[in-house]
Amino acid sequence: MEQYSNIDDLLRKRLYDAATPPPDFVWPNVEQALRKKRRRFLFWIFSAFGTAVVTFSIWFWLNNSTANHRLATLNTQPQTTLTQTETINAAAAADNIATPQVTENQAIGTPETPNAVRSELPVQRTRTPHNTFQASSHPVVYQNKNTPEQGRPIVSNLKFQMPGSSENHNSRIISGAADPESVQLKSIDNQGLTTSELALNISSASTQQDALNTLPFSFNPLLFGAKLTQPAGVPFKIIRRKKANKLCYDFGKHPNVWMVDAYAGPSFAFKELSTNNPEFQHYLERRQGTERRDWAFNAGIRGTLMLEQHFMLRFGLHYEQMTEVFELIDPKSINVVVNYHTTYDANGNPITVADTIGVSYGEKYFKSYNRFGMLDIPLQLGVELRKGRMGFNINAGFSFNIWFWKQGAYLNPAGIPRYFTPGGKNTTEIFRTRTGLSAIGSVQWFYHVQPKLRIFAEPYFRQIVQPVNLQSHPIGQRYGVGGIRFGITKILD
Amino acid sequence: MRGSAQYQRQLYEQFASKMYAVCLRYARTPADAADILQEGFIKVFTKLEQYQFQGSFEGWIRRIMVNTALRNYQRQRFEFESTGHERLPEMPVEADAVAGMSERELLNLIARLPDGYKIVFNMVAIEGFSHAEVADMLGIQESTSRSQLTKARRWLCEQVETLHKMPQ
Repeated sequence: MEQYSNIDDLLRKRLYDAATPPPDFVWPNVEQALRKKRRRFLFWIFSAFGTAVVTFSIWFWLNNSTANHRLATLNTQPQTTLTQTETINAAAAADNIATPQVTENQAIGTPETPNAVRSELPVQRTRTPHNTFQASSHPVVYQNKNTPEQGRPIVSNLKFQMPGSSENHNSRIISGAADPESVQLKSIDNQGLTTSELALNISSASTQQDALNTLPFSFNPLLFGAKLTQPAGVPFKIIRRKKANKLCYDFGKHPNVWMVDAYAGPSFAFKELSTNNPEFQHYLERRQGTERRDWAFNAGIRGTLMLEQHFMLRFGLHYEQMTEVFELIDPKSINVVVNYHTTYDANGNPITVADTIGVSYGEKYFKSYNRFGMLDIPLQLGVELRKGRMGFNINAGFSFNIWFWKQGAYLNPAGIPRYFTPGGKNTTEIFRTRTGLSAIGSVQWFYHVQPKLRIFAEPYFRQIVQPVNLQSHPIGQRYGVGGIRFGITKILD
Repeated sequence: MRGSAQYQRQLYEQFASKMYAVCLRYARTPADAADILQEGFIKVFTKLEQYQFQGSFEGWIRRIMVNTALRNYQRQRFEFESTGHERLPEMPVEADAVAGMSERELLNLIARLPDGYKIVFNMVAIEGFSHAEVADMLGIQESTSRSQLTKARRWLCEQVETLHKMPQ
């Protein structure tokens, strides 16, 4: 019976849920593309992190350098108005005033501790009768490097507490580089207050303004969050500082120390194939066409002996992996399936019959991830330069391979893919047992997060001196590996 | 599932055959269909979290494949044949004629359609999109979509009849 129907319906019924097996090579391609996307994602994460670290470090470096320059400028300003006999440094007075609350007094700004200044703001001063007092009534705090020298500013730490507040404020005060009128302290004046009296005045002041007026020096109330309007004049500068460079390890005191590193990071292998035999030139090109490099990784631990502050002897255990992709597409593949039957005749002789049970034509796809792992003992010499909490070192040396494993496949000279994994079925070993000697160079940038703890980033390059293949193989295969190591260093002191 | 190669493989194996048939209907050649399938599954795995659990999962994957096929065509700058607004009568076709053909033969038949006919026929007749949706997705007029469908139907009917009358 003939039925007429709309072709849309007929085809929809037949084709909407139709299924046709896709070619075999689609899934490996999908898998590879997904893997690449994942790697790209990780790459950007690493890059963003690295960029952030480098940006922060540069900012910190520049900021530190600016502060040093500012303090150096202060130190070199000619000042002639202060003398020890008739004046006392206002900062010293400030420390004395705040004695009940002072927990740390450290004079810096001297050549021994140049990195003192973090920021500075002009300070306006309000004169009150309490501004002057007798210097001799104070216990002298600054004796040695804190002693005010003529023409030199004094920098001191002050922990200060405002009335009505239990919060402690840390401040650094530079004094002495100001006009004489505002700092010169006279003899017993109209109030003649002593340190304890002044401190009492501060603590008994009802407002912040009163407390400020009590001080024999001026400071910027903005540093303490107070909102005060003060008359013009910039006699002093108060510099707030969080901490000194306590996070730097003092290599001057310990010029010879041991350090230990742990690191890991991405790496990338560079391969060079070569042959001296022109007959194998075509084979070499086919090898180049079927193998491509891929991302891998490196990791290791390393011991370092610092010598005379700047020279280093380094050794350790380094693992390096190289990854390649072997991919062969043969569009004219012929696959013949032959079944062999072995029987025995009456005399017990074997009779083997070969029976061709199938021949298939089509595209053949073969893919393999080739991985080469190397465990090495590196030995390097280095030179290190530091500035503040950061620095860099340059290293060069050799590494000795102690273990070389490999797995994967390659195209043999007959144009057939073969596995080279040692110990496997139908494998053809074409690589040496060890890779031998490698030359290594690296540049490390580091940053002290603690006095004895560093973080670092270290780009490196390694060249394996000898080809890694057996001499019997017609193609020479050399490798160089570039990468970056991210890690931490512990100073063992 | 997004990060698990095992589950990704399972999902691929579950839907690859059906989706490859979809791709074959839109593609010019089997190689193009394989490319579309590959690109489509990469999108599926990377945009898996965008699946809202509204409608069938298979439908969501199918939609991705269709969109990928359309983008593939747009990249190749195919152009619709210029047509008028004529409405051709729908051609009846013998059901036995279609029933006697294998899926592969039917797919080959559709593959031989001109590009413009093929896309509109697949989207409207097989996938069930409206002409308005097709016009929106392809950036053409609705009238163009209708005329392309009509011409595709006539072409297919002629081909089916011809094949049916051919001696086996």
